[in-house]
Amino acid sequence: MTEPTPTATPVAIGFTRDPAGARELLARASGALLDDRRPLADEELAALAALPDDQVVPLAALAHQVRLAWRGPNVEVEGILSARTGGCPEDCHFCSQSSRFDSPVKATPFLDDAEVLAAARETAGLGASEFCIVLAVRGPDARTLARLTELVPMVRAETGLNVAVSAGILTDDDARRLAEAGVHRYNHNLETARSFFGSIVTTHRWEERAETCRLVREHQMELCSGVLLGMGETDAQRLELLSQLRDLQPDEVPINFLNPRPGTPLADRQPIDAWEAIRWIALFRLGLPGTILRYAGGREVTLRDLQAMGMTAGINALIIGNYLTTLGRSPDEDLRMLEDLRMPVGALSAVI
Amino acid sequence: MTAVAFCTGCGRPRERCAGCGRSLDPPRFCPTCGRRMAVVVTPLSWRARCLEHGTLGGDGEPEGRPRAHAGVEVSPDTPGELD
Repeated sequence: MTEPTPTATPVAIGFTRDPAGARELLARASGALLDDRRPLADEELAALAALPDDQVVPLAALAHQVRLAWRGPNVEVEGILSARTGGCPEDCHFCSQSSRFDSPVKATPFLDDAEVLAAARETAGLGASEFCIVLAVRGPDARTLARLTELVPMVRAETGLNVAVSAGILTDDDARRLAEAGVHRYNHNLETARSFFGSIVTTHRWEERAETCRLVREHQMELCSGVLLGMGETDAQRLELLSQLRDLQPDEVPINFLNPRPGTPLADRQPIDAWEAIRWIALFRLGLPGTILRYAGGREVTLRDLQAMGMTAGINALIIGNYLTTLGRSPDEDLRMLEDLRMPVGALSAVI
Repeated sequence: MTAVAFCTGCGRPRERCAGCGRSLDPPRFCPTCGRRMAVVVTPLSWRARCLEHGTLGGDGEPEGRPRAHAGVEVSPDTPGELD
């Protein structure tokens, strides 16, 4: 459980044997996304994913140009709050909030209104435009839904923030009521590829997640559906996930990196390599050119000093401050990073 | 003054844990009795409550700020907020 120490001798990156071929591949992707403004095909993304390590910088540079061309320089800042923590009946193998694992996270009841409002005010004070209320539940029961429909307009009125909610699997009626309550964006992560999902979650199916995502869109809330990289999925499965996200057309995709949690089945996995993380941020931007791509959990442990590089590899939004059960780096560091990168903080709305 | 008898990261007696605290985790176990604490994490702070020994962290306290995990293990010289 101790933090990894830096290796004395970094492993050198691999070099391409076909630099001209790599340049041509990148030029074709550039032409498609920047000149023709057409999304890449799955096969084109697969070819880019196979580029050797020494092509990660040009890949990231292209992803950054695509982000600027499709979404501009603004970065959307969001605060999140675990308003009901732990005790979740689901068995998502990465999650410290499942009641099925011997996790140090103790279940706590739904925070009261004053606590939620205080957290929203903290978020607004950081210049954020979005605040997400997150509950560790399979889906909202009647009481939870009633609380949420009261809380959302209250937070909105009190802080002026857009309010997002993440409360698990929804029925059609749940989605309608949340939309009516003014939920701006609903978060429901796919987490991983359909073909790998059964290795990570056994208490519900990937299709149930996709169905909730569809309901969110149907009820005209913005859809936020994220990924968690580093759970043992293959590169092909990451591409599969990217393709499945492209089908769902989320307005926002948070990119999480596995931060192995004690007591969970994935506790002993190593976080993915920082260079690999940059490669996949870039690929997700190239696959989702118009989507809000948000830095989420695990970036500190995975990217360490490369966090600014991710911002020039396609990321255009971030979660600021702490996460649900873990802490983030200081908001001042993030805000200074954005200042240094000359990326203004501002709300990003859905692309029409 | 309150001695730190238990690791706040794993809840084991201090002498049986070589140190599993991570800088980006709030304390999860009471340093005095090793019980699991109820922890609330907000964008800017956290607080951890032991049924027996009260609350660590919280608004305006250095223990409640991000990246403060190492400082939370209340030493005899810094009694902190245990009651």
